[in-house]
Amino acid sequence: MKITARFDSVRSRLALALAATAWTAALGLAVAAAWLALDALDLRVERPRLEARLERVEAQLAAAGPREELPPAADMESLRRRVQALNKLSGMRGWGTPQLLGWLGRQLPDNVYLVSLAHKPREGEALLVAESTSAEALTAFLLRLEQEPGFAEVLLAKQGARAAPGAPTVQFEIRLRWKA
Amino acid sequence: MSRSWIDRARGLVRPSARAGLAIGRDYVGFAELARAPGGWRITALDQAPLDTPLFAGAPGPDAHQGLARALARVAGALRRRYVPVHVSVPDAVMRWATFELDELPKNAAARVDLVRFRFGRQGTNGAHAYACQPLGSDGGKHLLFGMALDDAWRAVVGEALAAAGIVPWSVSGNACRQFNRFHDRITAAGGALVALAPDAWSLWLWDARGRPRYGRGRWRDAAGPGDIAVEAERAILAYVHGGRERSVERVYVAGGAETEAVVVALDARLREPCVRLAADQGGVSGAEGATACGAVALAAALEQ
Repeated sequence: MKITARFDSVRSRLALALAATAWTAALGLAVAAAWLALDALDLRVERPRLEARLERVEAQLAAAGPREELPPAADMESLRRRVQALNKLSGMRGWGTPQLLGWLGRQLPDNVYLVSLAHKPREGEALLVAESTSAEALTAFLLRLEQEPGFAEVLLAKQGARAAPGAPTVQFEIRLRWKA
Repeated sequence: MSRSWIDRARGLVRPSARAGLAIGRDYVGFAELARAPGGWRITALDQAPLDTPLFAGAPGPDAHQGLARALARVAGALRRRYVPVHVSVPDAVMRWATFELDELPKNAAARVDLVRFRFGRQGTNGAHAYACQPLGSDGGKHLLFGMALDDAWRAVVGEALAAAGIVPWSVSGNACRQFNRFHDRITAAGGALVALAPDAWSLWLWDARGRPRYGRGRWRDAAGPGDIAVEAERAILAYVHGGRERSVERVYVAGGAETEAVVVALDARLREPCVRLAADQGGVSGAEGATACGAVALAAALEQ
């Protein structure tokens, strides 16, 4: 039996751990290198197909490109300013109709129904008719309208009753005006 | 994977060079080997004298400086190189023993403590470094091989090596190196090895299963070949008479070209001629005519 006993304090106690770490790292790097080499091989195989695809896309891009030259940048800027000026002249006041409908969708109580809506964006006004079997619900809805900061004026223009099968309903005709 | 591929993989991670240092009482020997087809080729074999003798009494303040200078002179090529370097110290400063134990401590630290205790009972006191190795069991007893080295001198060697920029792989005695070097050839049966160095000699005895059972190192001083032969014969006889199962089939002598006189003296006393283990055996080329110092450094370099 060979004698392997040694005075081990001669060698650093960390030597074995460091050697093991270094070998593990080297093994890991070797595996990573092999992985990358295989990837490179795959890409090499795939390269002709990708290049053909790129050529096709470039051809499509060239075919879909503008056939006439765009006006100069100064002309485009001038046109943009004119469109803005026109939009300002014909601009609406207050909300757009989709925004108003969205707001009503969120704030209308469950038992209150919108009967009609007349929106005049240029004047910044809207006339809506809402009905419900509960006068309290209509009053709460009116209160919500008054609390909305976007409205300058909320006016109960008309109040009426309508006979309906089941229970009688109350109708509120409300006029809204947006802030300038 | 076939075995040949495993061997090839091993070959890739094996060092292509190795070195051995023989630190004696008044010399430093150096051997460097390079891998060659079928074994090793000697690329350097050198020695240098020491200004201050070592291993006598307590180390002096300039002991490690003198050793470091000699190491730099003889083995300066090792500085900043990644080469396995095995260092041999004289057998006369080593203590070896094989202890027969009823129970072997499982913990390595506990085994070293036990070896320290058993060496202490044998009279090896003071600060020593200890190492041990289990050798299996024999007749219900666990065998534990232990070795000890004076810690102060070990520190001197360590400091000198560090000052010379050499990081040793191992430090051990010459006899241990020689035993390992020729192990496969000499341990088929119980035997004895006389390991010679310029300043010390030692006797190792092993049993039929190749396990060292006795080891003793001595300074050569004025002891001539005849004195060595007488003492070796006496120790061998004492060992053989110590138990019926003990036997020494053959006596081997290792120690370079200067061993001839000891071989002749031993042959004159033993009933069978002893076997000379030449330094150039075992797949080493270029070692013909190596001195005893060179043989010590070579055996260190060939340590696995």
